[in-house]
Amino acid sequence: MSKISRRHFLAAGAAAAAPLIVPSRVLGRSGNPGPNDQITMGCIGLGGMGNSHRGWFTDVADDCRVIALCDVDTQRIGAAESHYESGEVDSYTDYRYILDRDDIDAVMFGTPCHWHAVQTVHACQAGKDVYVEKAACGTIPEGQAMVNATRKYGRIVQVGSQGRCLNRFPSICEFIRNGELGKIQQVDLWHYENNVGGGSQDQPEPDHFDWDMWLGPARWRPHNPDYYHGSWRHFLDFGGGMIFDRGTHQLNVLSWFLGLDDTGPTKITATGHAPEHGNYDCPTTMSVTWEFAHRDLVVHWRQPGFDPQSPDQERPYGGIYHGTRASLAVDGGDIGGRAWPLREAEEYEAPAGGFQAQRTELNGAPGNRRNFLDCVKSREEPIMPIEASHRIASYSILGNAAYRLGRPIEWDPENEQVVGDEEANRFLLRESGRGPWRV
Amino acid sequence: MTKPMRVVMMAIGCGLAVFAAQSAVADAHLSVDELVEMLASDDGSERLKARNHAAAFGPEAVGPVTALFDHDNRNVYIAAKWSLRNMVHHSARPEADDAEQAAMAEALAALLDEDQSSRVMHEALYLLGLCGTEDQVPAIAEWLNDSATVDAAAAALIRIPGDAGLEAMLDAVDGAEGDVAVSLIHAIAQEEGAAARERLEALTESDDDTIAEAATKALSIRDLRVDYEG
Repeated sequence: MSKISRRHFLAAGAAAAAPLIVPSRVLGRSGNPGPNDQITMGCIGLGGMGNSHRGWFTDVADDCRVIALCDVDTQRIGAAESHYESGEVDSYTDYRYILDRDDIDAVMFGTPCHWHAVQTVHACQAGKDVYVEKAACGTIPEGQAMVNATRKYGRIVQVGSQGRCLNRFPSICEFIRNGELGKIQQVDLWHYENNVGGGSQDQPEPDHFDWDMWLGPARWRPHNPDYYHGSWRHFLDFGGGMIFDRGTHQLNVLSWFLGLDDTGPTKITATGHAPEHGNYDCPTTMSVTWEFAHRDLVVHWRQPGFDPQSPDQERPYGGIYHGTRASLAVDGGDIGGRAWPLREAEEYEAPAGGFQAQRTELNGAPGNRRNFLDCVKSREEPIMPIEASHRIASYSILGNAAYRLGRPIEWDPENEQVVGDEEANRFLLRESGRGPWRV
Repeated sequence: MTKPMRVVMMAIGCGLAVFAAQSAVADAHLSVDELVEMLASDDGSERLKARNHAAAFGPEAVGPVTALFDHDNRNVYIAAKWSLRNMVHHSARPEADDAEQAAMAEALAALLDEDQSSRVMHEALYLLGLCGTEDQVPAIAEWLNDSATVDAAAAALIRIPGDAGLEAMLDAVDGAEGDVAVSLIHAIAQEEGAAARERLEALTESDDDTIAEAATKALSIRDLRVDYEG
């Protein structure tokens, strides 16, 4: 295994002496990076997308320097450290040691969804700007806490959902927002089915892996390797299935296309087919309907749903926007952006005085990351802010909740409360975390 | 909407109607023994059928279903766990009468025992948070002093409406130490009443550094949530 620095061993053996992160530290910071400053970063969560972000911030961004790494799996730390010169980075198994360092401006959280809120709130309290993977949060109160922490501590929080940075999506957004389809009354999202699998028994955790720290805010259960490293997305308590994964990207562009960033649905109905075997517990097929009584709008999510057969190739996921004048299919969300049959939507130029969508300098995920670094310096709101991201995550949270409860949920999007269902309110709004991992 | 797309949408709608009709057929009555037998089947489709039937069962099925939690076949445990959840959600549906929900909560509370497996204990505490009332608070509170159950018990108490849950946690935090104290302090911070805040402020002055530090952190988190403006 690659080297693990001395600091890493200190952190790994110092659970009882976890660093103190309190808001008072924020007041003592000297300020945010200026336009010509190097941004120093710590990268937390080094698998999958986390490692991709780490690589970009390290190797591509010329105004950014990654100086600290963190993961609960020391094998992943070792793999990431191999990309750096000796002494270039310090490594930890507890992210709080990174938050406690005065020489770090910003952090990237590439951790599973159930950690995002606690870590983001702690980072804001410690005076760090935050790049956090999507989905932004796993519960409604978590999203609310992230919004509040961002505002209270004046931090930049960018969520890693890059659809608004893809080349064609701003034009399509302007096409729809400027009324070329008429009034949108129905959207049909389609996606392939959730995975079935996971046959491992509960077992002792390996020496290189800190199970309790991986669980963090999630309800306790015995260690089982099926839960993590790429498969956590297939569990309702961790990743929430595809409606949370690529669904977040699809719902992200939908919210943008329809101007829904500051509101939400009023009724949510869901059905699904539970897996017949295996540890993965997300429904294999799933249908969710979000009704917007205040917008005369209905949005359907269907796995597998209807693939409208693009003229180019099979499209595994996307949405059909039905307006009073025409319908438009748009593929993808994180990638893609092909629109048909009205192909002119991809190159649409908004009329003078019409709705103009924000555009980023770079395309896709690099555009989202570049926008974050620029905003760290300018202190402007990033293109994928936490307020909208919390609202977008709420769609998936509410959809999965309606499936699990087995009944529709009436939702007050203004006050973010369930209407007329005490158990649903407890289920959605009183989730509390575990140990010190509560927001 | 264009005509071809409308046709496709109608077809999807018909498909959903058929699915709903099949679900309705599956509501035919089963005995508890038959439910348990189906859940314990090696056939995944049988287990799923049982799971889909389970919602209609009341407290009489809680014991027999949770007895499957330690079954050698992990798939049986998983089917039993989700069946129990379906039963609880059904008992707590808006149109259920209070007696139905209360009976389910009592059946869950009766599971809490030191001889139970951790699977049963954690699931019972989790579900009591969704359907329990102040009547079950004393039974739940007994598990606040055990490091293995304090988080699950506190989570249940946070979710149960009324002041009894907070009062139980305030009682338990007196004399608590280490991880148990930290869990209780952060759980108390989930409560919005003045009593919670006053106790946390007092705990910031504790001679025990672990407790004082936890209370300081918990207060800062609590204030964030209370201040939320949407």
